[in-house]
Amino acid sequence: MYSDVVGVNSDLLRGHLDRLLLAALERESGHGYELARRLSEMSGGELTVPEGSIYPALHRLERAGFISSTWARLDGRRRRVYELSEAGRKQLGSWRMEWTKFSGLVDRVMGATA
Amino acid sequence: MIEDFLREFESELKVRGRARRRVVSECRAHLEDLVADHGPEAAVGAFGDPRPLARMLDVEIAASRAIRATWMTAAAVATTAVSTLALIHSADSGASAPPVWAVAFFAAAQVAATVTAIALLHAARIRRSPASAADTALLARRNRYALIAAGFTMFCAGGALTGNASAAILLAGPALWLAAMLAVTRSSILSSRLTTRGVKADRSPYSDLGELLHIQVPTIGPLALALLAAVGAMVRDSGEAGETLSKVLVVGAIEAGLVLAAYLAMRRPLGLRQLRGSNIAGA
Repeated sequence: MYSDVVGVNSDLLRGHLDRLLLAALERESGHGYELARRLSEMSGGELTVPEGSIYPALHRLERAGFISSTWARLDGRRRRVYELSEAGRKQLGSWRMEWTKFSGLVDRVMGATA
Repeated sequence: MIEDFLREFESELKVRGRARRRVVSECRAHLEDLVADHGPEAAVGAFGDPRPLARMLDVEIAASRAIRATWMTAAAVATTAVSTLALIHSADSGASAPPVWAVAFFAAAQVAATVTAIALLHAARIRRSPASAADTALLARRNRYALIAAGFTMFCAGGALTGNASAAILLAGPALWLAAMLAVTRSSILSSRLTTRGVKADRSPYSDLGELLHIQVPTIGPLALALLAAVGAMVRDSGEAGETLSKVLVVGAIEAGLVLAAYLAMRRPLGLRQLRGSNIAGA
């Protein structure tokens, strides 16, 4: 279950981790473990990255101003909870459009040569 | 098993202070949840290798610190400029600075403003892109040069002119300067711990500006830049009463010479060897 990546090239996935995390935060805020579970669920279990690698990505997104974080006490434990910012919501929209265009283009080229 | 993992993770982690406590606390909580759901062995396997994780976190935190230090540097340079202007305006009437102090003052002021602008472009660019250790070390170095030049500018004005001014205004610059220098030193220490010896980054401010504005920015070479600066200095001085043509030409020549000398002296430490395009060494 916890191999590096199931069915998807890990380098390819790492390059998109920032985008996937923003998408995972779109519906509601969450701490690191919740986000890792959400990513796995949203992909039907197909996408699993080494879970520690989401933390550098979360730091990067916070630096960019796309998310913010605060400490919260959940189930008696102190957790860092992440939330999508307005800038992050805009960025996610822009990344979505870019991805739709790009994936359509790759589909066309790959389909044509298949 | 988790304790072994965290021990290795912490021994690899270079960052100190609050940021370190935060990442260790987050990783511990995440691992505890994984253990509760899947058992210790699967938890450690799912979390990944502690060494690259520690390295990635160090690099991201170093970048965030370097960017924060850049905002502080810009504020400190601006406040130092205000303090320096207050110092000049408070000078005794009729006081004039010796030529060497005056040239040093103008050179340092221009270096401070230019390097601060380069550092601001650099910080704005890497704020929303993945960082490398060499790149953040370069940003810390640019900040340090900007602060040293700003401090030297005020020192030149203070050394050359005597007078009285509000202590609050005069001290605001140095106080903020000191705070910014501490932040820059902190970010520099972390970046240097992460950078492989001998690996240096180059970064073109033209490329940073182009990427920020999403346009192609033409590159101005050092000779053209020196010429532009000379023309600017001549235009500025020709507007002043009593300036002769020969004096204006000398000012232009000094300005061009200073710009070229500053470029040649600082292009290596400031990562400006390759003005055309970004050539960032990762480390």
